[in-house]
Amino acid sequence: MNYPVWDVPVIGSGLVIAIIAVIHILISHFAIGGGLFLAMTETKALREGRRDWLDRLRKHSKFFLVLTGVYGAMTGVGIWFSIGLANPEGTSTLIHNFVFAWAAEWVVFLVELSLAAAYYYTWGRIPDKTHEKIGWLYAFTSFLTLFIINGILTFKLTPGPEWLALAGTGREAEAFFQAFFNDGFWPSLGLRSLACVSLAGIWSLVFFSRIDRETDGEVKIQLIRWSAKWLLPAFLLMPFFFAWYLLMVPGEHRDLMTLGMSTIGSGAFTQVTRMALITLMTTATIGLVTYFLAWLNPRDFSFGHGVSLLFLALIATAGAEGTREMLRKPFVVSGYLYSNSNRLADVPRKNAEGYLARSPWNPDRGDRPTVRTGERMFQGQCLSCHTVDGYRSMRKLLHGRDGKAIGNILQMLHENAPDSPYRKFMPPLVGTPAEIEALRQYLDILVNGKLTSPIVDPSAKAVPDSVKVDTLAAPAIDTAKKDSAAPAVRDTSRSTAPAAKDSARI
Amino acid sequence: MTDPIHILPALDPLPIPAPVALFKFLHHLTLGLHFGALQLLLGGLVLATIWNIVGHASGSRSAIGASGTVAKKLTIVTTYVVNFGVPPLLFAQILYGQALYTSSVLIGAWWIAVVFLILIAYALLYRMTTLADAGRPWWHWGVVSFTLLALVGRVFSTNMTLMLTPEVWSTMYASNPSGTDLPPTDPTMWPRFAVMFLGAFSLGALGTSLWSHLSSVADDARVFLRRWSAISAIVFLPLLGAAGSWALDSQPESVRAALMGGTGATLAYAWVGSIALAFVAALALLATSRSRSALAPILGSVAGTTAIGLWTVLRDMVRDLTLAPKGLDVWATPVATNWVVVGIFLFSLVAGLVLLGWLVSVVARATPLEKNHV
Ligand code: HEC
Ligand code: HEM
Repeated sequence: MNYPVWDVPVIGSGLVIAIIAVIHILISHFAIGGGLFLAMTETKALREGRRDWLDRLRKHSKFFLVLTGVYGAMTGVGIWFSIGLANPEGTSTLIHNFVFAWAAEWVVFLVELSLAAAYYYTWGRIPDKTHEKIGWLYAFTSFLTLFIINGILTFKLTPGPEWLALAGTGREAEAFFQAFFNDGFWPSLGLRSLACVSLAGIWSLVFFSRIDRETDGEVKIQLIRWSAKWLLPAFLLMPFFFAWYLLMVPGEHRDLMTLGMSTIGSGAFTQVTRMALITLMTTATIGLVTYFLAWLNPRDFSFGHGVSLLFLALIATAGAEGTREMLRKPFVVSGYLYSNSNRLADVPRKNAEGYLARSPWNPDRGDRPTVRTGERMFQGQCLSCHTVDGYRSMRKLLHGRDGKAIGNILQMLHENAPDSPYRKFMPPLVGTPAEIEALRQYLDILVNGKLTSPIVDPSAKAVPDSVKVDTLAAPAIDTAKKDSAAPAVRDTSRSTAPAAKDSARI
Repeated sequence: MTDPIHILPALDPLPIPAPVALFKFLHHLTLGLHFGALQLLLGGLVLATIWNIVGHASGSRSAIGASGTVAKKLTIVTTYVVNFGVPPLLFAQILYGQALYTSSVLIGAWWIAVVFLILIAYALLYRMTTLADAGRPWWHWGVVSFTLLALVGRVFSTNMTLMLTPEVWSTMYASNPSGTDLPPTDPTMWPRFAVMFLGAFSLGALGTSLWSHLSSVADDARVFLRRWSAISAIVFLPLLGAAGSWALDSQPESVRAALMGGTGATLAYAWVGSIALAFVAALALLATSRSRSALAPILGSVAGTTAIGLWTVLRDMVRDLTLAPKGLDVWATPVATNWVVVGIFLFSLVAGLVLLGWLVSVVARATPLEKNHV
């Protein structure tokens, strides 16, 4: 445990990210598709002399400016804050790798926002041609932001052999471009672009639904139909890009999905499959609603209809992003960093010297592990995906198991055998036998209120906090403890960073 | 107490992808812009809110006009406060991640709350603009918005000082892993907070006086805006100087000693000098409040910008001086540069600036807004 783990009761830190991210994606993808929407619609209106469209478009661009400039920007900052809290190690990895991609993203975003503001404030105040140009530049820069962030996001699932070969050598930056233009890059860019275009259509339907059907019926029909058309590309091309995307998903991650598919019959399908199905079904519903309510009856298309579409889009987005996140389990960066911040390469070392050996958060430094160590093990290695009582509740999942059964599960998690059913979605549990025993006792007390089976390893006399330590005191002989007392191991300063890297390479 | 070296998380095994000096340069540049925009926002918000109260209480058209002029600019200023905040955070995470991620988690609930506080404060600024356009009082929203932003500032100052004190982390985490406590304050926290906020009421006020030159501002409102910005600056500049010296005094002995000699001292005196210059500009602004001359506002803004830039460098020196003996020597961070990537970024920066320049020229040539277009 290198960084402290942020403990968010009930919902868990992962869900904090998820909630902010889904809102952000709904808005930011609209900003991207919407840039194109504004530019194309203005060009069309100018070419076809539809002055009445322009007036609507001007108002639309105000809505746009506030939605993206305020809510889009702030939720974006929100995702960043939340990933830094929920997973500092993973955030640090991504930022070390891609800091200049992010910095460039920022430059582009700054220009994009300024273009959006100028676009709105100069309607009718500068020559049409110049205004149109600002619109197209806006469309271009907003697409560029997608292009850049897409490289960083896809890297996590498919970092690629070139980067992975250099990981841990200190030369990772040499593989920057392979890491950025990874296998998932193009199919994902395709999928996201289609989502952007559809969201632009959906948000525009919401916006134009408010045009009065009595006084402006004709404009309403035209604009609703025009907006509805924006959903078409997605329905035609999504399947193709989705198949391509799946093809690029590394085998062991795809298994998670096929595992789910094959068990649908028994009703036990995995969360990934469930999420993917939700996306599929809501997307289909969006298509039907758009066709029947917007395309066939544009005049009667109401604000309520628009909002329902938006709500469906929210679910589809949540499903799609959830699928993407779940597919990556148990990794943050596939093949490099587990969701619980253990690096794949560090597992043997941590098993030998102890999970908490170099940790600044070791509560039993220099002493034998106690239940307090067990709590740290839980916080450090389980809390990133589980909570105590809420989302993926540990109490619920372990309900009915006594201390011995808990010990068996932990042993399976620790061994992480190739045929272990847990391997596909849970990272290996690392640590010395004494630390794992401490975790077992902690969980036993957590779930059953007391120790329900005898202490297993006499060398790791972990005791509950409430029990007086002296009464159980025994000579500490476990290796974890001795190692953690050895200066060379305990030293986490910068001066030993190269040494740490050496051991990581082994 | 354990040896301080063992209380920092281990360095990320990936080296940083450009020299420390480049990151520092980019960090200071963008953080200076963040602080500049921030002082304009906070100063403008407080002044405009007070003027709105006074205006609606006394029926003074000039006060209401001046308050509206400033209030309507605050949404766009906030856009830049937020956007100029992003890169320094990115670069601070690169350079000081071991300390910064940790302190952020330790106040996690507050840190994430910042996002929502800003969102609400921001939305209120839009609400104020709408009310100001309609000529209705909006100061109550100004009060709420400022309170939320002050809380945001408090969280930032807490985090930026908590990251300097690894010795308290372990106890903090043991007592509250959810980060819902704002820690017992570091002695350097309030003075730093004070410098930012007193700077807003003085340097930020001088900045708002620039808006008196917008063509849309009525004569009486312009005079009001200039006079009261100047008075605010005259009152608060001496306090700002005092807060600076308080911030220095509150530092641990070793940091203070190091700052008092060499570069630190030079920068500190330059900071005092720029504040003195800003004071002169404020007096000139008061004396010329009836004139249309932009000289005093420009001089004040230049002095203010200089002071903000110097402060940015000084507080960074404090950070390095504090953290180095605790095991984080930023200059020793392993570096492995990919210059092609750095080059692409620098190119994007230049291209972006050129585009912004073009955009400014287009907007400047736009025909004035007709009333019905608002
Ligand atoms: C990468 C995320 C992740 C991490 C880290 C993780 N788990 Fe899980 N765990 C899961 C998922 C996903 C499930 C399936 C949940 C479900 O079925 O609702 C699960 C299920 C479980 C179950 C129920 C298994 C069963 O067969 O009933 C137990 C027990 C469990 N986890 C314990 C742990 C413990 C202990 C740790 C820490 C050592 C841990 N998990 C770490 C993701 C994780
Ligand atoms: C709009 C509301 C905001 C307010 C009121 C605010 C206020 C402050 C204050 C008072 C400080 C100084 C802390 C100190 O030194 O004592 C600060 C620093 C900082 N702020 Fe902001 N801030 C705001 C928004 C943001 C946002 C949105 C970001 C980033 C996304 C940001 C990034 C930073 C960074 C990175 C620093 C200091 C970095 C360093 O020391 O390296 N700020 N802010």
